[in-house]
Amino acid sequence: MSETPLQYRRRAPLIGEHNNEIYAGELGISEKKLNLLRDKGSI
Amino acid sequence: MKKQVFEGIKIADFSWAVVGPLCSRYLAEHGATVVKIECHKRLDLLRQASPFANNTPTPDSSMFYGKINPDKYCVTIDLQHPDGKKLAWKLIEWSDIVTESFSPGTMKKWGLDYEEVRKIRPDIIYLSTNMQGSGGPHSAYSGLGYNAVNFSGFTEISGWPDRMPAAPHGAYTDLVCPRFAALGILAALDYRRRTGKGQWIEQSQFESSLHFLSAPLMDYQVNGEIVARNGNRLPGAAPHGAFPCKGDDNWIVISVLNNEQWQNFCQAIDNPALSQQKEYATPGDRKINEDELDKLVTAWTLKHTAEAAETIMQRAGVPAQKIFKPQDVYHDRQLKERNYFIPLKHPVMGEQKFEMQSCYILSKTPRRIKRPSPCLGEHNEYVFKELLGMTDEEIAQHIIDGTITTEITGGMKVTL
Repeated sequence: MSETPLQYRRRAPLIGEHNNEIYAGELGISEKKLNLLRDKGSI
Repeated sequence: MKKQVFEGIKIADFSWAVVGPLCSRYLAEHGATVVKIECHKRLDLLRQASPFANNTPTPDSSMFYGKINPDKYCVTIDLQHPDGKKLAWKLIEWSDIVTESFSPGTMKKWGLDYEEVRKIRPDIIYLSTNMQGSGGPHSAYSGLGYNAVNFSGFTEISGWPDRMPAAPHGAYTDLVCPRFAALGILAALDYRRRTGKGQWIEQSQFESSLHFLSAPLMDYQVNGEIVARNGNRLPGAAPHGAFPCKGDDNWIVISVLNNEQWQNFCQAIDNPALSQQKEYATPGDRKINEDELDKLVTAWTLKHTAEAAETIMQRAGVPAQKIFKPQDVYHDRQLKERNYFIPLKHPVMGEQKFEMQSCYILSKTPRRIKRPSPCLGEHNEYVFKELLGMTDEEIAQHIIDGTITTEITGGMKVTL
């Protein structure tokens, strides 16, 4: 597409690579709550 | 009648054969106005391709062409002639989208390529689809899907290990590529709506087809492995293949993917002892002894009709399916219930059933076929007069000077 050519910005993600980026960065979940979710095994 | 999603979108379709016309077909089926530009001097390949209605080859009786072109208008222009090009420009100025599927350079030769068109219509969406793209050492090769299946790699991996490579059915890449082209057009329409800008969509049919061969390509890239022809066999699964049934040339596919299905299979053929045999205990064992296993399966399937074998297997929880022949598909109850085949009266072919192209139904604006495929030049008057606003005198002059073509000069050769 001449005006909007495709671009590869990232390789395929490692498993769970972006947990922090998405949960904390995009969804705004606090560090404390994330630790709790990790402890419970939900993440 | 409800409006459809592409109602009001206008396409000047210079494409021929399969890929371009199948792409514009999607848009036609959802309401776009598609004018297909053809010529009596060099017939669209598909007008010369079987099957012909009533086994009578004429430019208007190919159902291969018919399947791909319903709901389109057809005009006939001599693009070699300067006045013919003027007509083409009128259509381009009228349109939102231009599509073409010639070898690279053909539209440029006629001065109708994207660079020329964008000067007059910067908002045009212009699709070029061809064998290997519009740049690079092999871009100038012309060809058909029948060639592309070979250099894409489909032929090499189709068939049996001890036999010669077998091409997949038909010009397979032709049937893959239009879906990507239509998707590109949708993206470009969205971009134009947001920005007012058009763009050139340049499709390599080679690249589009490779999507379907990623696993063999990756196997080579990652491990240097070459995927071999393997018939109907699948790694890790056995029995897996087509097995002959009672009668003449009737077949069933049986696909045992795990141990549970293997147990079910042994029950289904009423041979519980088989499930205890150590040669066939695990998928690995079954793969090692697959030739012997296939003989056992065949001995059972030969005693049953394909329908009966299918019922027995499916009831027992074994993936199995009778192999359908064209008549089975044509009379299939499921397709009938969903109105897949639409009967329409064609002026030359009589009543024919036209197939839906979209394999999806949009709830508010369902797919629709309103008109059969056009006869050659059928809509010259409608398009030039009603859509482009030309006068009768102007149209008559173009017919007299031959730039609107009306007579077949090169003859009709049945090519496919």
